Amino acid sequence: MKVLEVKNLNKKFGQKQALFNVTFDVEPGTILGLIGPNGAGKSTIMKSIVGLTSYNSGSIKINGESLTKNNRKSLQNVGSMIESPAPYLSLTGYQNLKLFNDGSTTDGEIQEIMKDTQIDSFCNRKAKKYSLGMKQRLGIAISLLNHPKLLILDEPMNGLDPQSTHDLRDLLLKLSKRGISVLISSHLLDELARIADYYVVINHGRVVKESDAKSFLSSDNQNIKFATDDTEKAYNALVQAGFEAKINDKIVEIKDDGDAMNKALAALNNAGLEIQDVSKDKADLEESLLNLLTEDNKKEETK
Amino acid sequence: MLTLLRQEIYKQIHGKFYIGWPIVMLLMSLIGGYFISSNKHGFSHNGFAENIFSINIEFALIAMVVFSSTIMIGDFANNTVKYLFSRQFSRLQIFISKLVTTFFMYIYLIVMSYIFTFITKIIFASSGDFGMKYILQDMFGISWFLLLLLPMVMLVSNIVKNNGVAIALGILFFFASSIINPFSMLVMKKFEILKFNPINFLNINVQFTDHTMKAMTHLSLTSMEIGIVIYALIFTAIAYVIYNHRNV
Repeated sequence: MKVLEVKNLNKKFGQKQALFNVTFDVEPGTILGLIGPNGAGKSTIMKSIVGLTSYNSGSIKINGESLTKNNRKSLQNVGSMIESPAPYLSLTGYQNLKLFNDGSTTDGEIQEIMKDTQIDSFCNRKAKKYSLGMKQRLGIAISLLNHPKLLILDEPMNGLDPQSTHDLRDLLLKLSKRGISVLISSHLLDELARIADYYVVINHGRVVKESDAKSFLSSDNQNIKFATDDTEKAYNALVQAGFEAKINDKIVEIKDDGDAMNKALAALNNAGLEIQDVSKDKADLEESLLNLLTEDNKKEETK
Repeated sequence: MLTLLRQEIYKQIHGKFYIGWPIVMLLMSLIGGYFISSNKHGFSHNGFAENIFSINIEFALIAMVVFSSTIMIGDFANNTVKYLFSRQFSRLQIFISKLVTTFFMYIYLIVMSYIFTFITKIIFASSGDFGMKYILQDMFGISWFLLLLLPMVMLVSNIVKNNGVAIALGILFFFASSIINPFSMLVMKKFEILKFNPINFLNINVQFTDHTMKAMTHLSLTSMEIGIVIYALIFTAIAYVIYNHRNV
């Protein structure tokens, strides 16, 4: 059973349509990265899922149970931190955890959560004295209370130092191994690329792409670069073999469509060229996303 | 629901309000007791407790205006509402838990008022009658008054989404009846229907102890009580509808 199913979600703010038939789902024990530019609709989607904002049409199911305004039982299994952490500032970190515990988390488990999120060293200080990073960690700790099966984290890495970011990444991977699913948005794409199993790209309130991490990164715009003894000849050989090639500083580049490497090598060998170096662009989530968004924005403009 | 109540009470116990206001009330009670007892011309041990209780209960009333407004929209101001609204509880349950907590706070402040009156009396006027009958009348009068005033404050808080404005208006309502009474008496003579305006019902605490107020309000005590219940229900219902429809 899917942990989260979002189907045809539509949301309007007044006359402005913010979400258009957004559909995606989250499998148990996986990490889904929700990515897109600012204002694309990521937070609105997350807010709709946890019932912070209403939606005009569509459906949301958590663990197979429909989530409606009057039936919020399924949210029992959801821990969330939306936009920014907002603990009670007059309470200590520990008191905040005690407050949001609905009774199902034991004191021992609270201690474990504090250790995992590394707030144990300052949990007896009032939250108003916390830095943004400390608040962020407390927010994540709160979301881990009450044994969630789904974590919804909106920009959880904001304000964290590199060590804390690294620790959070490890924690999320550990949680996913324990079977907890994570829906996460972040602008730190490099960090996201290290943990996400799937991506859903949102642009202008629409799902532009939904794919698993591997094929998302390999599917588009990775280049294979060849250095040969005769650049011009290599270019012609690759064009003749059907590639869209370009020369960049004595290097011939072609796009990698998965099968391109073998075909291109064969073409260059047949042309009698000496291949001096072959390299492949490292998969880059940021570049893939930017290319995808550029294409999508062009499509939008031509509509 | 019990979880929500426990959480609301937990917040209060670890907050400053439930300690801070009683300290203010105790200080005012002692200062009032000192000044009343040092008045050599008119000081009587018999009416002492009633006066001190009045001081206490009026501070409790202001405290309740602040409390009801803060509990209703404080979570929006601090953004903590995101945690509150993103859980399995319906907004109706959350709203009711806040109403119940407000009621508990009122009971707590009433108890404190009694205790402080007792302490002040022992210190400054140990002999004489405690004036329990008057004190109870005063308490019931103020309770009816609050039953109308607090839903008004909660409604305003939800409409203006601003704690400060809601508290200011709440305190204004507190004085409103005495400010506009002379004017409303004239108008009500001409337009009888205006006796049903909610501000007129705010005179109940005075009418509870002074039955001649009926000539001014044009309403019997029973009519006022029924009216207050109806108005309280209407204001609370509207406040809930606004609360329920707020996006975060």
